[in-house]
Amino acid sequence: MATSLTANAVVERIRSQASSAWMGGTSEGFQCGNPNATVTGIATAWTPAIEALQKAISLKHNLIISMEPPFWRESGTVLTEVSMGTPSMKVLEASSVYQYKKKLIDDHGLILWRFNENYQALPSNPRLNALARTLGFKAYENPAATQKLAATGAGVYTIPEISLADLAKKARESANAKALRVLGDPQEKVKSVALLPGYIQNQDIMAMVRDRNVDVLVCGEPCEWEAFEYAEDWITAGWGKGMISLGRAASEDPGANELAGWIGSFISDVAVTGIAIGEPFSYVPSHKA
Amino acid sequence: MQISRREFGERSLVAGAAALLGLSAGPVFGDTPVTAQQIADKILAIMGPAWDPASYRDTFKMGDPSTAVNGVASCFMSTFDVIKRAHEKGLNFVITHEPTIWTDADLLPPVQNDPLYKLKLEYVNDNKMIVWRTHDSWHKMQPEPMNAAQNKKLGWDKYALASDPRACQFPPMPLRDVVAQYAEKTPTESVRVIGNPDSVVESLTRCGHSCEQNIVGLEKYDVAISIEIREFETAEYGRDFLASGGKGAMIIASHESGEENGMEYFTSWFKEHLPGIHIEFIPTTDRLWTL
Repeated sequence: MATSLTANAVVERIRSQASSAWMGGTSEGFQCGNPNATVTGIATAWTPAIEALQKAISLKHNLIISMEPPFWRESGTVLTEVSMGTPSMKVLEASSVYQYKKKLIDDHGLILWRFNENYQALPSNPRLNALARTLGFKAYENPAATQKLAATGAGVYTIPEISLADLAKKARESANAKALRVLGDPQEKVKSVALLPGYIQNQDIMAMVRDRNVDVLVCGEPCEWEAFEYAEDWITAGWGKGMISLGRAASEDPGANELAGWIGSFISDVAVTGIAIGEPFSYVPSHKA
Repeated sequence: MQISRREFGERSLVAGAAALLGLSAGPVFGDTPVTAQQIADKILAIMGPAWDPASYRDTFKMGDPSTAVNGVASCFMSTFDVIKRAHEKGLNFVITHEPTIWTDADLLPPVQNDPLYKLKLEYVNDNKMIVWRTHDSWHKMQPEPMNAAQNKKLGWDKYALASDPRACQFPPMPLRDVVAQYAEKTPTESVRVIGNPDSVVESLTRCGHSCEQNIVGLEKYDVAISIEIREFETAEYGRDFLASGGKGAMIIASHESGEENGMEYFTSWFKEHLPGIHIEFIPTTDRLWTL
């Protein structure tokens, strides 16, 4: 049966399961490989890092589904990420890392499909809910407040009161976010959390704090010198108490596993495996003697 | 503390009061109270060719430029905290390197209905403060002051390469030692490393915020130091760099860590060129902490 399942067919099934309101004109689509090739297994990862591809190869999965494109830049006409110094193709092609990754994909006949805007728009919001469960917030959700922030994809939770330092420690452990960074007085008590995975821009933060019913933000990667400084000013104003930045990867990993579970619920022809790749950082130095 | 002509009609009184505040009514500014506009004009005149009048960055951001200046506060970024600390020190002219209202171009439309913007603006106006930015012009000074100041602070000026002012060549040492020097001497806890701490390195380059600069930098030097990057591109390139067998490392730090030293240096530059105008450096710090 598996022999008849092509990558195109997998994408068609995802489209039909996702919702009737599938958005066109997005950044999504095949990035590498032959869409008509037979799928031997499906791996999901937030970004197709070399380590994720190697894991997929070891599992004999040849279709990789990810939010991000493989070569650290968007190559299509629809841009969803805010780049800083997008590498030119000339620079990329001269890079030993690009050459290595391209060869790995080609040699193993990997097929890469990007699932981005429509993934973020899935009605079940696996990206947010998986992270909320990982952090232990899900049971404390304030659904009305979450609904109000639907346009940003954020969730709002009223958790048992805890110090910012303890909340950060718990988040570091549960999300495996060893390189997380925190703003705010560690001793402050917090209980009303707005949570948003991924890259965070000013308009997201402004929306999350506008109603003044949130005292701590837990985010993936707030844009530095914009969203970070907005949060700092928000804390200086006395309107908020803290922000925990988990890092982009730590905030996206849980969603990859959740996505694999969702795809596996309607594709049983082949194995579907979520690959959590962890954060890219090797270590954070201990600071100031 | 504001000096106005109305209160001090006599030149001698103006000079006396100005001297008390560390201001001078010297030939450059005549006998009227020094305004923010005059100070900015004077700075730009001294910077000369480094100043691009078309820069959208190097402009007044808040307040009335014709306001008399009690004292100058220089900083990396005019956060609300920095503005408040400047005011508490009696300094009403904030000279910042980075934006005030959270975007590179200090765009008004995205924030004009935002309550935090209104609060910050009200604070500046109520306290007769002025905010002006010097970014492009300061970076164009030779030698480039941000890297030069940081090299000096880190004791790396002896390693700086004449051929590439962003780069350093130094005796071989473990990566962890380079990282420790950076983490101890720059004002941030936001230092994240991609690389093996035991690997031996002997050169580094600064890659700003740019993914492309990191890619190019790692082809030529052992360590790429960047301040404020986008994780999906640059940090993920670093992860793949290691996974593909690359020998080298990335040190990813906060934007503040790379430029606070340079704005501290701006403060001494200002004192040298505008003696008699009272200026104090207000550290922004990113105020981040880690576990």
